[in-house]
Formats: sequence, C-alpha cells, structure tokens
Amino acid sequence: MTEFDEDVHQLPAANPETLASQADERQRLTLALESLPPRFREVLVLRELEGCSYKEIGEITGIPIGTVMSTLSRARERLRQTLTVATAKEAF
Amino acid sequence: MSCELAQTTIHGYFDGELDAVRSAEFERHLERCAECQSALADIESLHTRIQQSNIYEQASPDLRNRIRKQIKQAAGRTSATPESSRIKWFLAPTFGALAAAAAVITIMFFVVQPRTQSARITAELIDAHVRSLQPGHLMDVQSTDQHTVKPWFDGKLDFIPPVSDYSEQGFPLVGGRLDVVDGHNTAALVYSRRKHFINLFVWPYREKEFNSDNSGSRQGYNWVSWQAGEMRFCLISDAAASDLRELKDLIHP
Repeated sequence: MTEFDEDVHQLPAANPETLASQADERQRLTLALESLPPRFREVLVLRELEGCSYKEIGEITGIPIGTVMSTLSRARERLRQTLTVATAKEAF
Repeated sequence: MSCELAQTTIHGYFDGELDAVRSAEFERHLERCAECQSALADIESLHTRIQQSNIYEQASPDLRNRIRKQIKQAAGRTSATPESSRIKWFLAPTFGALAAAAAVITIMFFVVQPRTQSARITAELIDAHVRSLQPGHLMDVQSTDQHTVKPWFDGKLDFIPPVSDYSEQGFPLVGGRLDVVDGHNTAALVYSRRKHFINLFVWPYREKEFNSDNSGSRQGYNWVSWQAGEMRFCLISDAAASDLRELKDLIHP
C-alpha cells in the first residue's frame, strides 16, 4: 500500500478568527457545564466525554440504571437551554 | 413536549442503549413523529457541539492507573463520602474507576476538521459497526496477535490492510473480519477500549472529493475518518471521540 503522505494530508491551518471563535465556544460550553447541578454535570461528562454506558454511569454515580436515561434527558435539556440563553445574552 | 418518547426513550436510542426490538420500535415511531425527529436532531447537535469543542482530554492509560491506585488507597484510609459540594465539578466523576481520567480535564488544543465526507458512506459504516455488534458478527478471526490477523486477510482482499496491536497504549487488537462498504470488500479491524469495541474500516479509495480528514457523531456513535495514500481509514465506536483520535494518532502519527 502507499505510504501516508504528510504533505498531502496535513491539517488545515486555523486562522486567528477561527481560533478566537473556538476559544469562545469552549468557554461558553465550560461555563454552561459549570452552571449545571452536579448530578446533571456528572452524567453529561460521563456519557458525552467519557463515553460511558448507562450501566457504567449507574455504577459510578450510584444512580439506579433505570433512571440514568431520564437523568441524562433532563441534563441535556438543561444544558441546551443554558447554551441558548448564553447565546441570546451575547447577541445583545 | 407532548410526545413522551421524545423525553426519555429517544436518549436511549441515541446512546445505543436500547435493545434491538425497542430500537426498531422507536425507529418506526420516529418515522412519523416530527417532534421526535426534531428532538433527535437537537440531541445530535448538542453531542457534536460538545465533541468538537475539545474541552476535555482523557488521561493516558498510565495516568489512569496511577489515579485509580490513589483513589483506592484514599478510599482505604477514610470512610468519608468522597463527594463534596466544594470539589471542582470536573473532579466529581473521578470516584468511579472508569471516570478516573476526568481528573485531568484541561483546555486542550483544537483542530478544525472539515466535514465533507459522504453522508451515505458514513451511514453505511455506522450500520456496519452496529451490525458487527450483534452476537457472532464482530470477528471472523479472533486474535490479539497482529501476525495472525494480518495473514488472515491474504487472498480475501485485493489490498493489504496495516494491522498493529496497541495494547500497551490501551487499545488492544481483538480481531478482524471482512465487511462491505460502498459495494467493495473492506477490512475491518476490531480494537477494544475499556468495555467498548472500536471498528477500524480500511479500504482503497481514490476519489478526490473524499480526500480529507473528518469526524463526527451520529446516533451516539463517533467516527474519525482519514485518508493515507490510496487507502481510506475510518474508526467508529461508542467510545469517546477523544479515544478515537488517540487511536488514529497511533495508527498514523
């Protein structure tokens, strides 16, 4: 097979505007996550960032496995609302 | 929301936590429920946004092990409840072994990744990944030895996929199988990451429009796709996107 050619497949360089916009997005998400109740934050981190299964989330947090899904549902909705509010505030 | 499924079951569906029967039932419901379609798009959009923000970095296997050991030692010294309302939020999940790596959440570098991959091929790959997880479908050859897996493909494909084991880096090779992508025979190598399986699909691809790196998520599955020479590579799993990027960097540093 052909060798990987770094010149052909190099990563696109990010321009300053893109970098700034991504830094803003990271800050927005971090603040939104920090503002969530600890239980919601915990299940979101475990599922979205650690990739844990519901069973693993149940074992780690002590939440009964039957309620992991509903907790995650409320956590996602809360995060979505928080981000929407944050974006609306920035628009003013 | 008035549709009850849009508040609960849809999350199990997105996260791949429903069994085959419930998943199929929900898909039938999804076809005619605009509310669930919209809710699914919202969940997917939020998931992608979190994944692409790169606000999180996982610990190396070595650091994970050391943190786990310290947690066990600390747990042995005190019977106090580990969770404290004063503890930084990102430390809270560390009290479970699997979440130990959350102790090293840091702001990390970020990479712009164009999303130009054919949606059709991505969908096919995700379907192939899901199919592989059904009982008895994951592997045609089961071995952690790259020198067993690689020769197994001889004569079955018109190309030779690169096969390496990354056990020391936390991605042990589990086996391999033949699959079909876009109507062509494809090599599928199976790695494991903690309790998750990762499929690495490898196939020859020459069309320039797909000659780009990209990543994303759909229905709870993450993918990272790239091209090296005339070969296309795609990692798919329900493991964290950062895990897939780590494995990709091992395959093509």
